[in-house]
Amino acid sequence: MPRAETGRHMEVEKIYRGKLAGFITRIIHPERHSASMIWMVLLFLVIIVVAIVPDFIHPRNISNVLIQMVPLSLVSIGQTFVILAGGIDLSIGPQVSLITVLASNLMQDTLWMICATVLLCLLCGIVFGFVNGILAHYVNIPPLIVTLCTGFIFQGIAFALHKTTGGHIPDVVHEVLTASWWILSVPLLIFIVFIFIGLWVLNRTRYGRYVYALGGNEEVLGNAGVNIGRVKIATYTIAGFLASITGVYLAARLKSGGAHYGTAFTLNSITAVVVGGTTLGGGQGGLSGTIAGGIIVSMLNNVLNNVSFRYGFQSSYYKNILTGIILIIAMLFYRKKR
Amino acid sequence: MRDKDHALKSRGIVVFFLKGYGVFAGLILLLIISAIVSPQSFNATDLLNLGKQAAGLGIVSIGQTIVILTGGIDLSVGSIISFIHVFSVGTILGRAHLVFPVSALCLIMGLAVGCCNGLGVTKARISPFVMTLCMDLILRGLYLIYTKGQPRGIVPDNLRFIGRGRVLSILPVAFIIWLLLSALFIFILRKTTFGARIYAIGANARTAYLSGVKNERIIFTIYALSGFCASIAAIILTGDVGAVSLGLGGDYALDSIAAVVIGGTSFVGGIGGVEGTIAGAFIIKLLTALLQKVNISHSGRLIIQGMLILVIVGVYSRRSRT
Repeated sequence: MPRAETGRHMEVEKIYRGKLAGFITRIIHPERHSASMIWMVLLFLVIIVVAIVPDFIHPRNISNVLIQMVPLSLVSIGQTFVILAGGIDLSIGPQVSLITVLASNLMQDTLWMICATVLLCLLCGIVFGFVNGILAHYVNIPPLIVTLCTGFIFQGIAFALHKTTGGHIPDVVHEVLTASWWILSVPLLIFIVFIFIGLWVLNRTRYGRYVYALGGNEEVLGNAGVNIGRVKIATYTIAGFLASITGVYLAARLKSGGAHYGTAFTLNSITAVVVGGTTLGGGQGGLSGTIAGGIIVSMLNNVLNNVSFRYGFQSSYYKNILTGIILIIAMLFYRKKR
Repeated sequence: MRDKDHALKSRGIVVFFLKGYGVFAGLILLLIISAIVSPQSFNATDLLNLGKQAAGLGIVSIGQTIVILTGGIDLSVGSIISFIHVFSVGTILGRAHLVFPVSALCLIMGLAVGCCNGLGVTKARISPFVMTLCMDLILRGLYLIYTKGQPRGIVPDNLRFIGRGRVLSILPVAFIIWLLLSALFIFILRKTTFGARIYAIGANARTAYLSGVKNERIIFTIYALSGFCASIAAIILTGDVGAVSLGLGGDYALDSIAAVVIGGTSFVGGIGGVEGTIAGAFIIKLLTALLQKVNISHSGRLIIQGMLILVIVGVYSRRSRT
């Protein structure tokens, strides 16, 4: 347990105790300026976007943006844990794809089968993440290689099960998981629940401190008597679990499964995390930045869709370039703080 | 004490494999297996054909090898190949006299993309895999915009000769180019100071820097070379395929990494070389052919390759630990 960190943590809390600003500052990560800054960037972007595309502010579009944001942000929460602990998960996209394929293949119309399938999918996600963690820690393979390879393996399995999109998702599941009222919606509520759990775990529990410390200096944490393996494997497991939830939700929303549904999530989640101020290599950053990063990435995709619809060009071609450029800019921006 | 000696002796075969010669043993083993699976296709012509098929992958993997030797990784090679393939076919449009200038332009473009990667990694200090992954995405977007999703064009005969032609109607041109390039890079890595510096950076970048190696310049050069190799491979593959497709380069990032790793080059950097990579590329292509023969599809190949890399890297990392 790094004592200096805890001390600073307490001081920040003392200064802000009892004030509304303090509450907000604590939600927006207490020890980092970049997190609050990225929210300012988000605000700025929203203003620009509204100026360019006035339709953006329409409640239905806002609701759409918030719903579209959910899968990416859920996945990014897991990615944040992994990256904070000094790892990286390139298998997230294929995991999501594989879970959508599993869910759509196994689900049937009876309630019992629905529950069983969802549980099985969540369990699979946990197992995938656990395998990643075991390989990264006990077999001592660099996380980049582990997750690249397991990613290809998951992708291969997904392809083997499903050549094209398809499968069957009962209407009930679709309706329950996509129900929305004005701006609020079920996916958004799920996301809010997970974001609060995530913030609590990362900023309030001992495990959260260990995650930061693991990214900061693995050896010191080990010497301090913490079981590094357990902390590291748990981060990958969390990522896998969240990927499986995303997979189930995506399958329900699209009423099908496909081996390419998750492909974009790998890089987009890394982008969201990096834009949010968490440095690759670990130890610095936080979850609140990631939320803003996720919103920025999915908002820009939404805007690109709007603009391309209006001017008639294929937005999917430009999405790749946009993601790449945002990621490079974010890396350039944060590199001095390393 | 005695136990230890015994353990060392029984490890003899493992040490043999770990020293990087094992890859050749693996190649021979795989050749034997393929000879058993389909004896009728096991002759000199088919083996040379295999050499021709492996040439594209082999050349990409040369660049990947030197990048991985410095402790980096280049994930953009697949998109470089697709981009250059689509661009060259789209500009040549079947006109034979344009092949030479367009190919030259393509090589320069590959070099330029590699230089961008190099700049990002050295000057902007972006970690290699993020930089090359971004480059991969950007190029993918660019070639989709360029072709509007429907690539067109015809490959003229003289470009086809580079990929399919045979010198004295025996030796494939592509295979010769691959061997020459491999020889060149083996020479560079083993006999020149530049090569020694590559190994030095891979082994310990800080020590290399303190010993007067200009790390940034060398790393920059290496990514540029990797882009260059990828563009050569793209031209050869274009000639070999003889048609235009968007998915040409898709597998090459994973395939080249697999070839390098199977060839005994360590991900930690500083260990390995192009010699092993030649065998690695052969193994990958042989494995692909073998899986096709026993009718395992693309998905099976992904799974098997992923597992193969994991197992090999896992075994190597055991060595670095003990």
